[in-house]
Amino acid sequence: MKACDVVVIGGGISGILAAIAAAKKGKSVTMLRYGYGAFEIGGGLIDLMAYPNNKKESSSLKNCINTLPNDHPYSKLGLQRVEAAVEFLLELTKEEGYAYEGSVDELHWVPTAVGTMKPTGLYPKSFDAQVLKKADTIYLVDFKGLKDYYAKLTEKMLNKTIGKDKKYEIVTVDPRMEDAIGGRDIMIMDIARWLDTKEGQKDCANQLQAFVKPGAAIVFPQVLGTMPSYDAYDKMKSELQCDITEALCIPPSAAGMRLSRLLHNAARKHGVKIIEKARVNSAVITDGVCGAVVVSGGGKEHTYAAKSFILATGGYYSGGLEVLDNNKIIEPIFNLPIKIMSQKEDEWANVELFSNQKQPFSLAGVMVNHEMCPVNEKGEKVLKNVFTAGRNLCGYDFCFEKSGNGVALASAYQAAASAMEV
Amino acid sequence: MEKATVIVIGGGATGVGILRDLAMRGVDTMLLEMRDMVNGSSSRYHGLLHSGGRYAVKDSEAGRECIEENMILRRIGKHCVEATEGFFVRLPEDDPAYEKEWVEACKKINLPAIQLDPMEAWHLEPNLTHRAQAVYRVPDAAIDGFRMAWQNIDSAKRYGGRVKTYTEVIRVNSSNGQVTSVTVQDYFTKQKYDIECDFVVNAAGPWAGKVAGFSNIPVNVQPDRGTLIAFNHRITSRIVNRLHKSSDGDIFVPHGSITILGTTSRAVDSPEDTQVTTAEVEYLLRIGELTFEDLRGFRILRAFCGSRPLYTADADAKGRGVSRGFVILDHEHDGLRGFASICGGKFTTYRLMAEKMADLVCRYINNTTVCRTAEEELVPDIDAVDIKKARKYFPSFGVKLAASRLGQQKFKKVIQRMEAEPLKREIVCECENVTMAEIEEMVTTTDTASDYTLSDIRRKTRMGMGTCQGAFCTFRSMGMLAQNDLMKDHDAIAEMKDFLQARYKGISPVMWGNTIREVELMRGIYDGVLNIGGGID
Repeated sequence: MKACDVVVIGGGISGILAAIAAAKKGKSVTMLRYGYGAFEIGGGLIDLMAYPNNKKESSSLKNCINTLPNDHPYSKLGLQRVEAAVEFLLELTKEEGYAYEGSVDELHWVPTAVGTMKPTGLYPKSFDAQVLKKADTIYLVDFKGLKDYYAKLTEKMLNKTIGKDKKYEIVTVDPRMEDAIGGRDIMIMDIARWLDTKEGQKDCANQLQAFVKPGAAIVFPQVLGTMPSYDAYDKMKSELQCDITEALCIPPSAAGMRLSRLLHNAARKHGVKIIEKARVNSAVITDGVCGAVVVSGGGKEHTYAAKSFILATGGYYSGGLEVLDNNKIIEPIFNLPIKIMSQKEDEWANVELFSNQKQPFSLAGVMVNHEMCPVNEKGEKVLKNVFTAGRNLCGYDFCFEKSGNGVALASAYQAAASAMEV
Repeated sequence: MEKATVIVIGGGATGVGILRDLAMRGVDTMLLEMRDMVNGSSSRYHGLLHSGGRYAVKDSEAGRECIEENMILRRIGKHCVEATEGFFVRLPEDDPAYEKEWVEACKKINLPAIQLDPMEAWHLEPNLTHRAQAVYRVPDAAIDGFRMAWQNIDSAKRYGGRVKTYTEVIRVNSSNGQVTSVTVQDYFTKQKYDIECDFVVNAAGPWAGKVAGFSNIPVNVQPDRGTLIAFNHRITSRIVNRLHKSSDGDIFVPHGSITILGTTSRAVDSPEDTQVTTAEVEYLLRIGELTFEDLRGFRILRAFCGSRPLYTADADAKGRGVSRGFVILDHEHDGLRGFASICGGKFTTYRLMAEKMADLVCRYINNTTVCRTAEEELVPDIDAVDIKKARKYFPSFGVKLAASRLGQQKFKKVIQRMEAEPLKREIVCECENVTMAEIEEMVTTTDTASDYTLSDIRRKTRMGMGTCQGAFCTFRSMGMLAQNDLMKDHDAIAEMKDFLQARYKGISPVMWGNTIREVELMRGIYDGVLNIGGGID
């Protein structure tokens, strides 16, 4: 049996943030993980909250937190604790040399590959729709042979969202990698890795200088590096003398990889022990207290004991919540009580995939108190030393609200704080 | 004014069959479809090419038609048919007396039903229940309804047949009791115009009553809703039927990497309502898991439903049934010359139905050419040279997939596009191996003059029909259209939303297990990252 202060179950953004927060306070932390979370899907932005109730009215978190339902994780946490978590993230990214910006006070808008604008909370400075608004001329950078980004589509839609009065021009950079990658499609990650290198940055900037006039705005797909660094961004900005923004693209997200790398660097630095390929199958519970969790795999069983445990296994996507065929949901490790809106079919999913309503299935999840400690319907603690963070919490729709990584951050920070008091 | 000797209404299997048959007999024929081709009952079924076993007892004539047509379609449409063979499996809850009756009935219609030791059957199909009491193998096969229709159209076009999609007939015009033209409306532009003709064939399936109703002729077609489930696994390599009196949920049909379980039967008011409920899915699963006990362990891709066009002859019906499976109604009996409806029937016998209808039309227009649809293959074989070239750009399984869905001519053209422009080799839909070149070929040779949707591209290429159900290729295909100036007046956001909504429609009744993971990913990308449901700053 291995023992430590805090065991974190799950390696996504909630798990790793909770692990870092606890480790920074001097606790011995072991993180058990099976997957890598949704970094490369959701991208590197920390969405806090944009649409609390409907899609027509956007609002910063600070302005709407009091209007959220009681079940919402933010309602459980309260503004102060969310602000403390935001402060923690801004501080952490600064320490790691890839500082994020933003706050709970206002929304920040980011352009996407389909030319829409997406509201977010905390962000790397290379994502900024404001530069498009300010500019008269907008260059859209495309890369020869690049799959998953279509500058003409972005341009067509920007005409509607940013305006027809601007001058749009598509400029194509040749990454000269057709031979190198042997005939397969060139992906966003290939370009991003190319722009991690000094040679790539130089080549790209040189090619663009032939087309781009200073003082304009430039839209790149999400390719400005896979490392948590502003090198590529700074280089383009200074060489081309233009304002720059990246546009959000479909997965895999290079900015998600940057954040993932940043957090892994921090976790290692602060002594978090990461156990890979560790799927937790069961827990040892005595009198409402978890003594240890059991990992099995490769024909062996390992038991990890700790004073407290943080459950950050995610939702439906990562298996933290499993839906049985009668719409019954289970949390597979601790079998925690789950809140479901309704088991009736017509109340489980909206008729429209994208509508002006939150998806009922998305609101289901683990019930917690303000400490992020799981509770039953009566509000009583189920397990005294287990705390929950991220997507498996009930009461929020991360897609609709644009609150995914924000809830992950705030609940993880709180879960870590609660775990330390055990 | 546009003109055709014969107008065929309805782009389902029957309609395309009639188009091909008439075109091959040299008749100037135009098919009109109100939406996209194969959008109704002909694509919303289990894709089973019946051996006739299912009908042997209750309707031997239909059974005999099935086994004869089955053999013909294997020959003329070999790229659409997967000769899987089928099992009839009797479970303990099924009546042993029916088994005897069935064996006798199969003999009568010359259907080879060979008995198999249940243990051997289980070795061949390991997911099959161990409770089987008796198993027979029959020449059932899987058939791709989309592909069958496209290849009929390709064949018809070679003989001068014409097709217009998104063209809805809103009136059949006549003078002195003789059909003179049809009035149609373009779905996108709403523009109305007439097409002159001598004869109108109503092959509108469950909509046939509506079409006949334009001329106040009663055609009693009852839409009968059938619901099906598509699993994302090849649960069985053979078609598996329950050996009992035909009932709901007792057929499994494998297609490529998926399996379809069906079906239900319920009279409905409108064929337009194709939203499946979770209760229907649960009902099917309960029956299905008697045959495959681990059924619930397989991921469901989606659920869908269509309407059978069941014909009920009423006392006033003047027409004469050609067979108990389908009827042809010559509306001369109702006082309108040059107008006939074809109702009922089943996919397996579409060619025979078309032949009988074309015979009637030809008698009317004094054309004495005989039907050749049973002899000539739908599409020529793929050139070995093209296969060899294609291997440079596709993984090997992708070559086969693309070649058989495209047919010889289009396959050649797609390969030419890939050779000429390397960037068009990009794979847009990775689940089904659909390249940019193929989508471009489909879009630029579309039968719609005014517009097309991403769903049209899906039906022609299978894009978005695989494991990810459009999560990645929706964006890619829209981007690819924009990049190649093929977007016309599309509102990209609305178009992507529509396409994803159509996928979600089949997913929402089955949102559990791994299926809900896919939904979470789809929402994460399009709502979470791209904010396509949301606003503008």
